[in-house]
Amino acid sequence: MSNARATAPPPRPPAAAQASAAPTGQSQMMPAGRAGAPVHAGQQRRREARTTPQLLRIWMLISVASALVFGLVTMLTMINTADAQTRAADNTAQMIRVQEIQAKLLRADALATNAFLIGGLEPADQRADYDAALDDTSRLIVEASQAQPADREALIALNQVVTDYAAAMEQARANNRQGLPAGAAYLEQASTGLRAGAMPVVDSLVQANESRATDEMDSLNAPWLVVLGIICILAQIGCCVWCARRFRRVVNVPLLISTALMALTWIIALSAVSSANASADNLQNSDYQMARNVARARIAGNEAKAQESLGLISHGSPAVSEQAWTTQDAAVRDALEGTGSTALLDDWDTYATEHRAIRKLDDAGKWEEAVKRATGTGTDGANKAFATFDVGAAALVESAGTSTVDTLRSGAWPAIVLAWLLTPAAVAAAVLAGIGIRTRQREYQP
Amino acid sequence: MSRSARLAVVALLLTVTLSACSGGYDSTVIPERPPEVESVQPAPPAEKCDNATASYNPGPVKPQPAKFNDKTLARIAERGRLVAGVSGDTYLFGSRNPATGVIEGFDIDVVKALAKAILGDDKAYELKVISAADRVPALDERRVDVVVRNMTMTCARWKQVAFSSEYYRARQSVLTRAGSAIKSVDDLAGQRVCAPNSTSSMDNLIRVAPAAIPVPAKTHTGCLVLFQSGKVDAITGDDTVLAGMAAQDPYAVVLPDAAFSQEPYGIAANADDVELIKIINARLAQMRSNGEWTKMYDRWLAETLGKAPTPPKAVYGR
Repeated sequence: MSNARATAPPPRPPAAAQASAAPTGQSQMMPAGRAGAPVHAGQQRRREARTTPQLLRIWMLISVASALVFGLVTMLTMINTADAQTRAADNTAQMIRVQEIQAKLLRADALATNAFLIGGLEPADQRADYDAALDDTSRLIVEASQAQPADREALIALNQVVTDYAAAMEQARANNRQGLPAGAAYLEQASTGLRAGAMPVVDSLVQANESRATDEMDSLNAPWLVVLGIICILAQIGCCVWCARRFRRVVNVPLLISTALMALTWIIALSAVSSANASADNLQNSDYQMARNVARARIAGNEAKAQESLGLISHGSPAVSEQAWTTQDAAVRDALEGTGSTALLDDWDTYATEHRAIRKLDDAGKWEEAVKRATGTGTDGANKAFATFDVGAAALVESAGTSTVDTLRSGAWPAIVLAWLLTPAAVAAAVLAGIGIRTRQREYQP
Repeated sequence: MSRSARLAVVALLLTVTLSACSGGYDSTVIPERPPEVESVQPAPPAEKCDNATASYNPGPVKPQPAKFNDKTLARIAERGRLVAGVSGDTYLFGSRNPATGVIEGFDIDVVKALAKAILGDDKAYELKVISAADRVPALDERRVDVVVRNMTMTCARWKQVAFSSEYYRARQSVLTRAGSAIKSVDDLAGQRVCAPNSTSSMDNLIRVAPAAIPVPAKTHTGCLVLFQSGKVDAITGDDTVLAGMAAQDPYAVVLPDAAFSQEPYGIAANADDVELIKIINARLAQMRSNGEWTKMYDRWLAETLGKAPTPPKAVYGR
């Protein structure tokens, strides 16, 4: 077909004649330059005449394919941008959830150990708080295992330890109420088991979700779109330039619009990715960091409070617990540093002062007074001071966490909308490129 | 156009595949839990000698704190209280009363008597709960002045600490479940038997019942927890300690004929604190003779262990 068309040049419609002027002109010039070789000139003319439609077809393929590939990559990039933000939000929510599990478990232990100091008759409100903390833990474990299948095995292992802990704690209570010293041994077993069995698993869960969240946030860039966009747009420009030169007309309107459309799509897509990236970077230095670090401070704080009670329970041998308290105190301060939450740090300082007063009493041999101060539920005292810190920290984690998750989720929508807008734009660019080249191809048709 | 349509379909499929793939993460690592059971640590090897219960001659009965020349005594006087390392979980000897939070028992009454003897005030004391394994280090590091914590007087320990005269005579026995096949020490072969680490109980168990599987715990009550959760078949320890545990568990019995050693208890002090031991010995002698010892026994132990025996005879001459 193409050969037949190429070997029958005249007569042509005026437009076609004009269009073929360049190739014809070139082929006419050549024989002039090669006088005395008319046969070769005829072959050359045929070759030239064959070449233009073939090249047009090649350019058609390059141009349409590059617009379509560009459209595909743009769509994937937008979908990936939306997905990465949604996944980052999910992972952040899961990280906050497992940190909450850790804080609740240690809160339960801090309450149980503190109540133990008081004696066999546990204060009702402290018991209620302990029950609520364990109930929350169970609920959060179920929620967390539904939210992230990759965490399921670890959460099953954690649940087992929590069940063992609750059982040992009940035995501790039962013995304690009967005035039997075995209660203290069960309490120690429960607390030790919680630290040895549950904490490493929760730490691993927090770490896994933290790196999943930050990995997703860090993946908010599209180097392939930058490179591929440049290649595709250059190919389109190449096509425009070739057409302009070959057909001696500067502007092929559909081809030009196609190129402009691709460039515009490229710029919009890249700005969307870069804006999502900037937003994620900003989060990592603001609300996300705040939620993560304050949760860490809360966990360390509850561990410190439990160690304070364990130190008093050990009655006269508080060295190990006090060392643990000091480590957790440093961890609280370290986590709060840079979050700018001075009010929370003040609350912690208030509690830390109480703790030091308790230790001073115990170290001076006034154990009963130390216990009284450590278990007091009045307006002052260590329990009140600690509760202020714990409630403040929980509220801060909640607000910063919600803000992080909301920002990430709302950031996914523009990317989805753009995926719907930019993909048709790229397809339109492909169609326009096809129309532009087809116009030139028609000029060769009889 | 049809080609474009086909491409669009491929793109859509790719998208779906890509989104599905990127959502799957590696499973969260479950850290391996280190084994809970500690390694078995027997007490220092037993050395044969015939004067393990012999202590220093008693000193003055009524010392005057203001005139203490001895460094340790002067320090105690300056501090205004005697610091005693005791057990917090040996029911009837030294254990925390969960209702009151106060540590009480036979040993604690002994501490009160010593405080009265040294400082003239039976409230001038401070209790520090220590584990069996911590008894010697606590004295070495002078974290406590005395250890009143069912500590058996042995020749090996005389090299580490100074003992008072014997203030209680216990026997090592075996506690097991009611109806258990374990009836004597010989039946312990192949059974899991718990004893606290670094105690003469653990040492004797390994020596007397080498075919038993020793399981260590931090304290005797730790053994009771293992026993109640079915992790050990029996507990070995001094009859005094075992009686306290049997009182906490209606399904536990102390084998009446399984006693396999005599355990003379002494009050321990730092090896250099001979003057302190002399005052303690004087007070113990007084308690034996004036019926105070028997009163203490009746108060704490008679209900579980029966009528008070004659107080152990003091041996001096070290």
